Amino acid sequence: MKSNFRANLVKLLTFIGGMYFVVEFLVPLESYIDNFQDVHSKISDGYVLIGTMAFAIGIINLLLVYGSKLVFKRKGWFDSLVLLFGLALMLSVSVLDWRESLHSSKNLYELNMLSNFVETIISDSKSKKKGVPEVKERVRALERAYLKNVDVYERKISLVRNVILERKEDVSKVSSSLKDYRILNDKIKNAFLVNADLPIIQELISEQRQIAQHLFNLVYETSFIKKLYRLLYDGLFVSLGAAMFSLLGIYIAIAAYRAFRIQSFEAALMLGAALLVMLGQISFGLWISEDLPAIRNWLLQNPNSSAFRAIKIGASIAGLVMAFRMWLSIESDFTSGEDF
Amino acid sequence: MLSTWLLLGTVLGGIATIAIYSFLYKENIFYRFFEHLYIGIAAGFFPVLAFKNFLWPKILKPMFGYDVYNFPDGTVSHEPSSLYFLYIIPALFGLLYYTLYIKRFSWMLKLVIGFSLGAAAGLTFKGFFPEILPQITKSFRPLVVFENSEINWITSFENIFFIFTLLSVMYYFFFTIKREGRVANSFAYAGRWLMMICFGAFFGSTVMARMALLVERIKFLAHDWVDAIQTLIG
Repeated sequence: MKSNFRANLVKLLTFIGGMYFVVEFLVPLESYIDNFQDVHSKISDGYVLIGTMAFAIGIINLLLVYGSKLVFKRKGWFDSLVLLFGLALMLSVSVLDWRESLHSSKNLYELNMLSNFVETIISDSKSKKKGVPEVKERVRALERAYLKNVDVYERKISLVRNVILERKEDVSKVSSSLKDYRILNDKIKNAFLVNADLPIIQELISEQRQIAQHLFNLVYETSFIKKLYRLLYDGLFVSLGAAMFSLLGIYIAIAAYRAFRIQSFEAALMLGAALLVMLGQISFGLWISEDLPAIRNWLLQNPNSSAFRAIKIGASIAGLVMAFRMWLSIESDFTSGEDF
Repeated sequence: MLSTWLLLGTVLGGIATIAIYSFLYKENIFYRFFEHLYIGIAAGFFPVLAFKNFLWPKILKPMFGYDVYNFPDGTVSHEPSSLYFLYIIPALFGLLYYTLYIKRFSWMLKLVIGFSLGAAAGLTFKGFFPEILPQITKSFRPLVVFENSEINWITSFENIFFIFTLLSVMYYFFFTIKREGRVANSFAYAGRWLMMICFGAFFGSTVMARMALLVERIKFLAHDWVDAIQTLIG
């Protein structure tokens, strides 16, 4: 009885899991729910969230497998140490780098808010939104807030130059941006004085926000933690990934030596097509015949594309049938075993 | 002139690349060191990425109202919605993955796996029609193409060949009705041969893509890395 309940519960949840996407496809929900696309993206995020919660499983498993090897000094304990060191280093550096980037964007909070505020004033006045203060009053509030933040930002921006100098980085990029930033300061103040149109003020504030973002970004980019992150990411992660995948190129060539021996007519066809495609892509091929690139393109656009499409159509139909069987829990009974 | 960090990155990248290529000779401690380092770094990189690009901006930030701006006139950019707290339900449901480690409750893992499988099935159903149906309709091209009231023989031949390939390859995998007769068998065999040409072309493209990576790595070693080493030695 108990096991039946568990198995049925799993089957029910499997059905519910797929129900939303099937209904969303079959029923034109846009007609019944306002702003449905927004609701749909939120629901999809909920689905992604379920999967994201499993992110620590990989780390836990690595710790269990390699940690136990290390603790009990089993065979390969040094490799386990290297793996766990790499894991801990990248985790901590990534977290610190993220914290640093958050700090950098926090510096921009007021300018972001002002930029957002002008946009909102414009859109509210266009849509004649009710329940908000009058435009004139809002512009005065914007002016007061801007002037209040001028000194705060002046201090923050001046600090950027000092930090860059302290870090012995190229200060020339900072100087020109600082100059532009201060020119915009005067322009915005002037725009408020002459009661300039809101879109002009919006454009100026947005431009100033971009320059400030560039300056704070320079501080972030030249920070120790960002450089360490770059060293790990570009220096090791990207290089090791590229080396691993290029190594596969050599093994594919070795496999081809075995697979492409002309033992049958089909193998000859495969070898011929592969040779033509490879020769058509390199300059050496042109030396043999100027038509090779055109032959390569024809091969890729005609037999390759149509045969691949036929396989894809067949596989997709099979995938659809499988999906239905999975959704209705009739594919394979994964609700069996000692727990069920 | 390379900065110290860039120099260090280039030197390390070169050493790592040589270590991986040393496997071509035989498996060795140098290769294993960098292989395990790569796995460790990759395993440490993705969880933070998931948190940084998804959990924080899409779930936690709006949930706690960190994305709301308080404007100077007393209004706000948008009202914080308490509906975001509903995300706690899928989050708690997702935590059932961890029952994997508790034998008594491990059956609950299948609840969340079942739900995800159901969602994947739903997405497959939803994705099939908009993705595959246009491909099927577009595959059936006109067999005779006219251009300036004359037959364009090349395009017509290409279209006939395209449809012949498509149908014969599909027919090769059609097992519902028993294949009988010379015509049917020949048609299926033609599909098999055309598929071989497709696989060959596919293989050639894959090899070239990998070779491009290999060439890039060798160029990196021969130029950037050697330059960096020379700079280091002075």
